Amino acid sequence: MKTQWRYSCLPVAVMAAALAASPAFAQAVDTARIEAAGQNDWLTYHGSYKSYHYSPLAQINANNVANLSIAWIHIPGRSTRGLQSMPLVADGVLYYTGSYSRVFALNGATGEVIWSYFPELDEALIARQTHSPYNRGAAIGEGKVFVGTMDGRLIGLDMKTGKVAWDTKLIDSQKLTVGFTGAPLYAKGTVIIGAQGGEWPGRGPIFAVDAATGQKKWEFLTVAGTDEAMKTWGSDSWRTGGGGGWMPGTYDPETNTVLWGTANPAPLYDWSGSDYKTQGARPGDNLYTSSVLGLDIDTGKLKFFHQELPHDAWDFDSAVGEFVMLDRDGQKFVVHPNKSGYIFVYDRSLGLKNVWRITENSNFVKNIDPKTGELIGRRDFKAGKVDEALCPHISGGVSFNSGSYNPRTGLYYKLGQEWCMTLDVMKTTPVTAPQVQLNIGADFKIAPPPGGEIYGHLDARDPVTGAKKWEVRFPEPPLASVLSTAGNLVFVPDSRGTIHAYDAETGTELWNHSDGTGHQGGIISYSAGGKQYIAVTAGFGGMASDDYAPTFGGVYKSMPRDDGALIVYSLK
Amino acid sequence: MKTILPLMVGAVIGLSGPAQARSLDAIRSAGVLGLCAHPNSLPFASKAGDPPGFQVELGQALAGQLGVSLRLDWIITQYQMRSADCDIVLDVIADREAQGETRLRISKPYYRTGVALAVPSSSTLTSFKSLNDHTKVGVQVGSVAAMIISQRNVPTSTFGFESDSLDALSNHEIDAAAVTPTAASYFNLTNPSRAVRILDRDESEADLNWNVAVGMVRPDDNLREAIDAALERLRADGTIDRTYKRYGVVLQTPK
Repeated sequence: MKTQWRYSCLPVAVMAAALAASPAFAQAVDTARIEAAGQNDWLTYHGSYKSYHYSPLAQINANNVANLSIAWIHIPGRSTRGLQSMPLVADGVLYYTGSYSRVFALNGATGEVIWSYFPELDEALIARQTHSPYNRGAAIGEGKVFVGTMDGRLIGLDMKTGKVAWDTKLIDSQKLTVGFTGAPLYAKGTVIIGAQGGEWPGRGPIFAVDAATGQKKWEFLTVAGTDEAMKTWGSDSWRTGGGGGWMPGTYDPETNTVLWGTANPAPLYDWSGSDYKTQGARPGDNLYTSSVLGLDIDTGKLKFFHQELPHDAWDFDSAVGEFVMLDRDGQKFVVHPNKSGYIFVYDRSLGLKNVWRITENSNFVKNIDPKTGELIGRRDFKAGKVDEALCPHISGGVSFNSGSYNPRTGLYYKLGQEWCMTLDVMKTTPVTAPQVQLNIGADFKIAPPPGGEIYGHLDARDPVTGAKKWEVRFPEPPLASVLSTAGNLVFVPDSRGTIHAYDAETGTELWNHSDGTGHQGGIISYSAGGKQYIAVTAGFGGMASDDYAPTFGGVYKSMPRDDGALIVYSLK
Repeated sequence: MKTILPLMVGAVIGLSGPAQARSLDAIRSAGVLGLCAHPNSLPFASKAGDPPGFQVELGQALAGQLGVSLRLDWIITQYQMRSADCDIVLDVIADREAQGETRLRISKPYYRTGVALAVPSSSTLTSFKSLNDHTKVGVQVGSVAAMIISQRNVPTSTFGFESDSLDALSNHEIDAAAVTPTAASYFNLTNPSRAVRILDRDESEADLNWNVAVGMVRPDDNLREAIDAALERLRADGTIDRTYKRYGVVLQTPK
């Protein structure tokens, strides 16, 4: 009941209304509240605008985690390709999404359903999308829950009732195939959401919508969004450049800037070889794909950017991952992982400060210059079979899911994935009529790293230098998010279906529990009724996890790919 | 550009299932011929049914020739074709190499098509050979036509959709559009005020020309023969030509 005391200065009328509608005294979720990141809540995809994926709660800690057990479970149903969602919590109410953009509001202490919302979707369109029908989460703010849909809409729901406040169509998904799978971001009266797009011939828009009305405020095209960028797309290939920003970014209140990562260009594998500046399907650097962008939240105007992979020919886009904002020795850093397994460290204006690598097996470049960001010894392929396996695998050196920064230990807990792939680059004929289809431009198959086995690892590292303190290995790469807490714990939900808790200082495993199916979504901690909970989504299936059964066999062979659950733990 | 029915290329989710194609006897016994078609691809096919698309109309004619009714299986990708349990696909390239991934058996061809140049009615361009380094050509992203035209040092402008390329042409953003005669003809039918001129295909470029046939999903010999015979009758009595012409497409004899 700490929430009651925290907001005891509220006007009486507001408190009475909130009391009637929620299990705790509630206050509107706004920018200041998300920025403050109160310890009982989880108010935005990355936990707070600082993207720590860290909970300051310590009721569950290294001394008592062995007593952790299931408090309640929610089964959302119709979980085609599992669950990939990051739950949110405000004032003891847990909000999360399932496949087909279904939204649930649950009592965080009991799991009782407060309301649910199943949007009516263009089912025929959803059925023929390749990156579908999963949804990775919602945003909350100004009394609403915001969710994107695979058929190109952003919907605002009343937070108390689940009733539709507005429903705004943003993408012509019938034509472009793509829609929204990622969570939106709420900040400053604005809801921002990025489209899918990497392998499809659109221009990858990021949209800002008025949180109150649902009216579109601005749109930034991640492909040739400026005149200068248009010059980096030979043969007018900007018309079909892909891009997009399919995972949520964050907001920096100090600079009034939205930070957002963008996806790869299309077609995915170019066949230009080393002549990529002038030859191939998309000659040039292809701005602003595989980049991080700083956009003015009020206008959508590009303020600064860094292209992590110029002319990305590997699908190692920058849309994945958190934007860890930390202060050290008077400097303000932003740490952002790229799908390639390289971790980029910036200042708050995206000026490069360092680049370090979390994966052992990586050969798409020899290195990335930590001072300039230049790709050294890049491999650009001609059409045909690629001799040496490409590392990492297309699913990335890091997953779309997030790592965690713990300000108490000063360590960044991040999963690395060690796998490679055979590759046969083809000059494919894209299918665009009447509706765009995925254009990979290659045949590929997962392969073990040279001289070794596929594996994954949780690293505890210095986020700025990359110096490693400890590592835990997994036989198959975990694909879910990581959570660290003030209880000196790091939680890792793995692919086999076991959730692990490690000592944050040493990496010693302190507890584990089987959830019965693979994890590939979010994990959070919150408090309701004075009790700390850990909530994790379970349910396997999707572009990366579909490869697990044929590659690893074992438990993955029998693992269902059409179910999922939200599992919530607390102390016995 | 060698894809007419929109079939997906590339490694994606496993949608394929066991093929259960039937023999001619089985089709006649069941009284139904299954046609796989895209639900939203006019002039090829449309689930909305108004108009139904030339594939649906031709499928009905073929089924009639076999003495059965037509069942439509709406698919998007080649993988769905295998699990949809249909018997035939229309407008496929009559080339074993092009059908390598689909593993379709092909009938005798019934028309010839490929990549043509569409130009504004006032254009002085007369053929692929008249393109030069001052003529910007709209091409489909990643297509064979895009590669061939680029190799000739002709500036290109990349499009995702043939219709976008034709729109850009009518807006004078480009000088020519490398598109299928089917797309250009249907554009003219549906946009008479912005009609473009369609230049003859350049037969000297083998990769930009191909015959079109009926694709069959593991047929027996009797079914192949029956489809070939039905096609021959429908060609001879003008059914095929009339069907395509309703969608603005004038068919050329296969080579």
